[in-house]
Amino acid sequence: MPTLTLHGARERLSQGESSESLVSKALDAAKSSTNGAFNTLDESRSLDRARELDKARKDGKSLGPLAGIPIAIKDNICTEGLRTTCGSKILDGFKPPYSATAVLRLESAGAILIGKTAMDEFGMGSTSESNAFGVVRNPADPTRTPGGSSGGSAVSVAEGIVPVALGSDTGGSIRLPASFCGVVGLKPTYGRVSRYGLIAYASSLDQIGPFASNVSDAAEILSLIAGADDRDNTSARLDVPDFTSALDQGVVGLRVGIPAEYWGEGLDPQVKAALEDGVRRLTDAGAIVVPVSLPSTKYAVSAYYIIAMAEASSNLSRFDGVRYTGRTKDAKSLLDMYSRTRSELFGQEVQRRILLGTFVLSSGYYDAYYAKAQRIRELIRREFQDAFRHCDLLAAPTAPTTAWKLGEKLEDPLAMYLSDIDTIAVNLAGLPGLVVPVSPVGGLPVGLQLIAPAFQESTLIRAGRALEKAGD
Amino acid sequence: MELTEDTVRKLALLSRLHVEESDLPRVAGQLAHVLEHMEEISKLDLSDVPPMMHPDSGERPLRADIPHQSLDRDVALSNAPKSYEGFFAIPKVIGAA
Repeated sequence: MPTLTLHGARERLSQGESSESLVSKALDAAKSSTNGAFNTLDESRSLDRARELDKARKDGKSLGPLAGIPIAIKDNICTEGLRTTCGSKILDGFKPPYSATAVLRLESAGAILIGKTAMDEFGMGSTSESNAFGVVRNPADPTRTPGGSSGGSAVSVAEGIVPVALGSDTGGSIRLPASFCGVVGLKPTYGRVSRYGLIAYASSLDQIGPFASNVSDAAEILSLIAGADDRDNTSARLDVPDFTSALDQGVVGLRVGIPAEYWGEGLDPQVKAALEDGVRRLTDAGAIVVPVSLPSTKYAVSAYYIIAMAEASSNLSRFDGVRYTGRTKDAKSLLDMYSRTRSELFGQEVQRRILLGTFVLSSGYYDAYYAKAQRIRELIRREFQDAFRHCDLLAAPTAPTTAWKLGEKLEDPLAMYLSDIDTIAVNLAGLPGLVVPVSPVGGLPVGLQLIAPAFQESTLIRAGRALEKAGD
Repeated sequence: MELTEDTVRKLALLSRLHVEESDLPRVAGQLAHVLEHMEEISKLDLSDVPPMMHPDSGERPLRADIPHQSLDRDVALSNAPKSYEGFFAIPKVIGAA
């Protein structure tokens, strides 16, 4: 389904198509789509920028690697002067005074930002249905969810509107929509990409990463956005390799761990068969399969939600009706203004997570819930480390099924939380994960998730490319 | 897991959220349903495992303490629902009922 790649866009530019035409076609495609990928389009500025780059190209100026190529950015990543809502009414009309580091880095490479993509409110959801500005639909079947929370970014790439888009992943929010929409999604190691300008949901779990229609494009974008940033003290002070150099290294002798806990109960048999076929492509290319075990996986959902909700309850306290756009009309006092603003303008799921986060941090419950969750987190990290003594990467499902019907998970929040079982442990341990499409099931995309030790994204790219190549 | 309406009222106050009295039973039920699942870990004995606060990515250097231009005041106020003479404006506090 994806129809636009970085390579394809560059070819069109080198054959004489203007960037203005490329951007204008992307804007038209976004406007005519009925799948709701965008919350905001930046028409006049993106076209102005395209014309500037066309002129620079004509004048023979040296241009960046993404010069004149349209991209999309998730609506929780700040873009100076361009409406950034986090999919929430509380930030409707918010125009950030600065851009995120990842955005600045893509723009300085010449990329043209055409708009902000729809998402579950503040990243809190797995279906993109809680976006306050409209439901997002799966291009493979519009009665189904594209996955969440970065659903709009996944759809913008799946529909070929843009070749690449940025999303963010706190518990699977890049990987799940990549799997459901049939595109490549890369969640980098925690610290690999600066979070400066990413509106925080859960600061110890959040990470920005790319969606693309192939592994090569994802690798190229990661190389551009990764690296230390003085404005994010949790960004890793490590050299950034050129991740594209790993693309054609092949997988001969690479040990692929199969964690038993991810492949057992609850996994749809047809999805399992498609994923096993993906693993077979890797072994056919020379990789070796190694069985491994991650026994604490069964506690990951509880630990993840306790930690994420606790951090969210703190991070979202800044939305109080004082500094950021939304404020209730009729408040009797300051306290009343805070509470009514937040209850009127936050959606149900956000309020539920704030209440639960407040509960697990409150005196009398802190030790039983929050402190316990942090110890589970350590156990999970150790088990990954142990597994990586026996293998170079892990292969696992991204979700136990293909995309759900819209509305299916909305009635029961717990059912939605439990569906995140395959993606959340990676965030708890801070590891990188890459999702690559395998054979669809019943016309719906399925993605295999590859997981590597911290800062070993090159291994993921190497294996992901081999998987993709075998499927061509 | 039982959550009393009183507990939900207290959580709402701490969270600065407004929950209608008539809605307390429904909210209490929803929160309890989620917490019931999470109780599975509250019973585990993990006293020998240290808590992990954060995925550690190594050194945390401090920047040099050199004055530099920060956000302009007017820009900082530009998203405020209400501002007054260079300040964020809030409902009256002193002398309020």
